[in-house]
Amino acid sequence: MQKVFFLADSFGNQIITRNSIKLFLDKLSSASNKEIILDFNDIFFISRSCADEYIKWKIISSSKKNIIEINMNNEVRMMFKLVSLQYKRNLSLSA
Amino acid sequence: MVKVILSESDDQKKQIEECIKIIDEMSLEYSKDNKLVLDLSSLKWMLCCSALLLSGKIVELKNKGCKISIIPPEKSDVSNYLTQLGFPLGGGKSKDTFIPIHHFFIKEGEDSTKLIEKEIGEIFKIIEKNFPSGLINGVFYLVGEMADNVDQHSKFTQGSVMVQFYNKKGHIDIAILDNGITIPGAYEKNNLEFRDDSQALTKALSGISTKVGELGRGKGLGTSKKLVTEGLKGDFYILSRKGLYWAENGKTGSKLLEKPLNGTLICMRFKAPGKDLNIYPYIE
Repeated sequence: MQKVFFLADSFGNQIITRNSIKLFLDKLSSASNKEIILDFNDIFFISRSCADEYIKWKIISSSKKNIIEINMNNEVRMMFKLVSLQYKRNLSLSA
Repeated sequence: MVKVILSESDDQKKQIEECIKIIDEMSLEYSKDNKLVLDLSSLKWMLCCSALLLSGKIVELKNKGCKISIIPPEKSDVSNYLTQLGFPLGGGKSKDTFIPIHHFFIKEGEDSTKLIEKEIGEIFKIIEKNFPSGLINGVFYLVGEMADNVDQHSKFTQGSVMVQFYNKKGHIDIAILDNGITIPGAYEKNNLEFRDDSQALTKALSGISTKVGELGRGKGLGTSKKLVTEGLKGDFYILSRKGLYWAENGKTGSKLLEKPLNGTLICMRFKAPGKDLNIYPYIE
């Protein structure tokens, strides 16, 4: 069963602090739904810290849940792309 | 009486050092008889970073019950400018591209994340509405990373912020202050070694995080400095406990001050870029 989460309902237009997204992601982790749709409509900005927290959560959660992101604007997409690259680079450095 | 005399220049490093001495005198004066007279009559100029530092101290003492009298600057342009900045107590109304000094406080049992999200969210709304579009993402990044650092590491009870975009001059001042455990204090708490407070700041800028073993941590400060100094050709300063770090006019340095700040100040000044700024090459 799938469930849609509208991020703007929890964050407004910006996702700023690591703790706030961590709380939100903990809620998603405990949801019983196997497929989660994250609707980024009206999210104009995500901080690097929050994108980092999200990427780490997604890597851990993707084995248990199918996570689909929709309506992501270009700026948010760019931040995720950048943080993913940093994460991969860090992983290869620490290996 | 504490006389406030600051250098009549745009030298932020010098004014920060002068403010730390004044703040120390303010504490001393308060400890004598719970009263403080702050004489600004001879003041010729005050930079944003100094206004935030002194305002933070005034509000801290006021909240402790100190009776404070302020003798205003004789120069009317200085007096008007300070009013515009929200000096001395903060809380002025934001106007267009001016977000005056704003102090916020954690009450007992209150969640710092919620408070910071609310305060910074309001500031983001003003920036989004009034700042040039090419600048918005850069300012969001800088304010967002600094605010998250305060939330994650500082254990503050009093925080202060101001963001000013001077349309005519085309430059932007951002300053964030907290009264938390400081960067050297956080390193000590987590058993991270450092020679002195100024070295703790350079270590923090190089990405050494107190969240040991967690990938992706400790990048906020260093990437913010890179964005300001390389992307926006601006100046960047950190004052935390006795450590002062600066990156100005393309040169960097750090030193140990005689007196400490009980907290951390981060301030930056840069020119608005002529075209849309792509922030991503600088925060990699």
